[in-house]
Amino acid sequence: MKILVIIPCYNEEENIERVVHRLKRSVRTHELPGTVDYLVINDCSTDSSARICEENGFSYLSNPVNLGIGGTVQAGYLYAVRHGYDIAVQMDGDGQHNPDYLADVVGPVARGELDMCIGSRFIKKEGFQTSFMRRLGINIISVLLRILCGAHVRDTTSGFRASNRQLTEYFAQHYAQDYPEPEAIISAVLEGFRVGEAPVVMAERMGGISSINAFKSVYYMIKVSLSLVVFRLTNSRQKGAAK
Amino acid sequence: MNAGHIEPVFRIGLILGAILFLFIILWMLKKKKLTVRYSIVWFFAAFVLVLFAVFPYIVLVLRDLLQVELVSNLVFLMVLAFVLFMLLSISCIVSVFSEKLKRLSQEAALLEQRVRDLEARLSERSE
Repeated sequence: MKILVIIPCYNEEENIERVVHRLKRSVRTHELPGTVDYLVINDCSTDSSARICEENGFSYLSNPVNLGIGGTVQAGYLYAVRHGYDIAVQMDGDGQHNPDYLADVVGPVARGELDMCIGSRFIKKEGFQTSFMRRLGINIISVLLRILCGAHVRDTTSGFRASNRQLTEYFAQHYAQDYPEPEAIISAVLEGFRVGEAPVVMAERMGGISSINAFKSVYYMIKVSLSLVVFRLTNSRQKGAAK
Repeated sequence: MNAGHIEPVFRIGLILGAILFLFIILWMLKKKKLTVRYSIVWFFAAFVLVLFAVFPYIVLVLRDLLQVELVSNLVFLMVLAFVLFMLLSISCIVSVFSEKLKRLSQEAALLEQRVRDLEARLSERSE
């Protein structure tokens, strides 16, 4: 079984080297259901991320223009499809996702229990739990998703997720550009894919600044809710899709 | 202002404006700043404006049908509706383009990686 870990990277010069080395080390010491490759996708960073990838001989893609997180991750899904990977895993380039939990996230997909498995920090409630405001936002999105499509996902904005080949093929063709994490859940569920979660422990980002601050998180919430409702209104559940 | 006809000054202004508009469209087409595909709707708009100015009777009938008080208000209303429609269609065009641009960038990134990979393998072989 071939597994590809997709690492989107935008201005992560402080983190990206550590993230990749930690992933390599973790893959060597943990038992995984297949061979693991990784792919850093540099989203036209303005810092030295690109140089770091090149000098270290990382396996990487380089977007010619800045595409945002959605288009960047989708480039990874395209790569996974073209190179025949069985499972594609998304993992942030800022170091908040611990690669030691890779097996936990990949497991349910490898065993065929789920089509997409999302690493959730809210199941065991260990590790970095993020700010109150953001937790509130994530919970609201979770409730909204349950109402709109019946998905039971707690960590709705988690970018630590594995998908099997069929879903990766679907994402390579249809993936939201602006608020991809929650929208990927609703689109997958409406297409009839099984989406679930596995407990993981997340850390605070290692260095640099997050792309979302306190004020932005409220703004983000409003836009995400709107995009989810609009998505549900404009997309019907596929025939044969399980409720 | 007499509500029964359109003031000549307004008519002349409308005609002059529409002609100027037509010239701008033609000039942009000549300079290739505008493609024929997207100029058609603007030609149509300029044509309608000239039509209104030359045959104000059309506008008067429309005014009576829609029961708008002033003729000029009706003209403004129609122009505004048209502008709204144009803005919306431009948003649509931009959305389609951004989707195409995204796909192109992704393909370019994948190709760049393939070229890099091939170059590395070639230099390995030659060594």
